[in-house]
Amino acid sequence: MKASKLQGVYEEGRSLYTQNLAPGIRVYDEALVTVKGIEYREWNPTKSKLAAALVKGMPQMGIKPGSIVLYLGASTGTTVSHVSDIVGKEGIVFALDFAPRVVRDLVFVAEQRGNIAPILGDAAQPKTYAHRICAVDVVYQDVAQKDQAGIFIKNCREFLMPGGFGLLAIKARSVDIAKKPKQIFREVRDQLAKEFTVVDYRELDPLEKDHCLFLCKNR
Amino acid sequence: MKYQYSSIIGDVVFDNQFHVVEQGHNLFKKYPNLQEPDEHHKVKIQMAMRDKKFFAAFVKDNIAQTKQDVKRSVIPDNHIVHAVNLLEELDTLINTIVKRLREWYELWNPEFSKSIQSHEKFCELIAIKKNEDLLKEINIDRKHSMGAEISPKDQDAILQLARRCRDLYTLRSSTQSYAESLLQENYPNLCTVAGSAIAGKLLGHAGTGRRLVMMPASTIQLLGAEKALFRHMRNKRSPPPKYGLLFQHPFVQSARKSEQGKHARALADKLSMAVKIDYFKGVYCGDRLKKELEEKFNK
Repeated sequence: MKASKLQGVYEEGRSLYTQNLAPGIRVYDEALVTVKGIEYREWNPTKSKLAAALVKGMPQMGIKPGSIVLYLGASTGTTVSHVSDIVGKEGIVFALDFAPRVVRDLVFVAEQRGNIAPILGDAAQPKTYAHRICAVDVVYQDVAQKDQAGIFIKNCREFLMPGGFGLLAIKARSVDIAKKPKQIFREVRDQLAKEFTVVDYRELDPLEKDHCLFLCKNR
Repeated sequence: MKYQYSSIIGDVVFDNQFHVVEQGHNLFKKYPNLQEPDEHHKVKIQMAMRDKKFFAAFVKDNIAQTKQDVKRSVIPDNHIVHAVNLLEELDTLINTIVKRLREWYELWNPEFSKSIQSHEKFCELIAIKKNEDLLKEINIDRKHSMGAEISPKDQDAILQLARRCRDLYTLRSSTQSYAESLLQENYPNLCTVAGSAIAGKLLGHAGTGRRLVMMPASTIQLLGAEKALFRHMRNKRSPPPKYGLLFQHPFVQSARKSEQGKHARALADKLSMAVKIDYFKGVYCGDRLKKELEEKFNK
C-alpha cells in the first residue's frame, strides 16, 4: 500500500484505496484491507464516478484532507463515504439528495462517520438549504437531471470559495437521449468555460457508459 | 451596526465586518437594532460560517433535521405504491411455487390435479381435505390411480407447501382490497376512469401522486412504454409507441386495432385531468369524465 499522487488516496496494484474513517465498518460491499494496523477501504471505480475519473487519469480533484465539500446527488453514500475518508476529521461533507428513500441510508452512514452532514433537499433550489451549510472548497455534483450544468453553476455561484474546485459528473442520457454524448459534453464544456477555468475532463467509458466528469476551478 | 442570521446550528450575530460576535440559541433579543443581511452580505456570512468550531454542530443538527424531514416525507402514496408492487411480486411468486406444488402433488394424485383448473381452488382443497375424499369426488378408485403410494412424511411435506400457497392467496386478496381502498380514498376520480388496477400501476410507475400530477397527458399515455419510446427517439426507423400501461384498459382493448392509439390518447387526456382533480382535492366528477370519453367515440 503506497500513497498516490493525490493526498488521502492510496493505491496498491491497480486498485485505489482510502483510509477508513470508521474502522471495521463497510458502507457498501467494498473490500477492507489492513496494512500495518491501518485499515483501508477499496474504492471501486465501477461504482463511483470520481474513482472512475481518477482511474482514467484525472490529475487532481481538489478534495484533500481538511476540505469542506458540498456533495450534490449523494444517493446512499457510496462515493460520499470515500470523500468523507479523504477529508478526514478536520473536514466536513455536506451531502444532499432529493429522494427520501436514499437519504434514509445516507443518514446511517453519516451517523457512523461524524463528518457528513446529510440534507434532504433539491439541488436546483440552493436557497432552501443555504442556512444549513457554509461556503465550501469543493462542489461535487452527480445528479441525473436535465439541466445538470445549470444547477451546478447556480450552486457554485452561491457556495464555492474563490479559487475553489468544482467537479461535475454529466450523464449524457439524462440531458438528451437523442443527441450524441460527445456533442453534449462539448456543449457543457462551453457552458462551464464561461464561468470557470475548465482544468480537466474525462469521459468515463467503459466504467460508466455515456458519462463524463469535469474538473473546474473558480476564478 | 450588527447583523442577525438564523442558521441550522442556531442564531448567529455578526458585526459590520462580518466576524462572528456570538453564536447560540435565542440570541437576537439580547442585541437591540439587529439588521437583516441583504443578498450580497450572504456571501460573506457563508464564508464566516466556515469555522472549524461549527463543524460538529453542522453535522449533529443536519442529521437531526434530516431525520425529521425523512420522517415527514412519508405520504399515503408510498403505501399505495408498495401494495401495488407487492401484488405484482406475489403474482409471480405464487405462480412459481404453485407450479412446483402441482408437479410434486401429481406424483401422489395426478388425476385430481388434472381435474381442477384453478390454482387457488386446488391449493384450498388439498390443504383441507383428505386425499381419499378427493379421489372419491372424481370417482377414481385408489387401485386404478396413477399416483404412487407415498409415505406420511412425504405427504406432510407436500401438504405443508399447499397450506403456504393457500396463505399466499389470502395475503394476495387482502393486499388487493387494501390497495383498492387506499386508492378509492385518495384518488377516487382516477380510479373511476382508469379502474383501480391501472390506477395503481400508474402511481407505481410515477413513484408518487405529485409526480404523476406534474406529467402532461402525453407522458401518461406512454408510461410503461419507455423502452419503445427511447428506441424511437434514437432511431427514427422504429415506430413510436401509442400506449404503455393504458393498453390494458378495457376502453383501449375494445377499440379496433387502427383506433387504439386514438383511444389511448383520449383516455390519457381524461386521466391526467382526473389525477389533477384528486391531487388538489377537487370535487368528484369521475363519472362525468368517463361518460364524456365514451360518448366521444360512440357517435
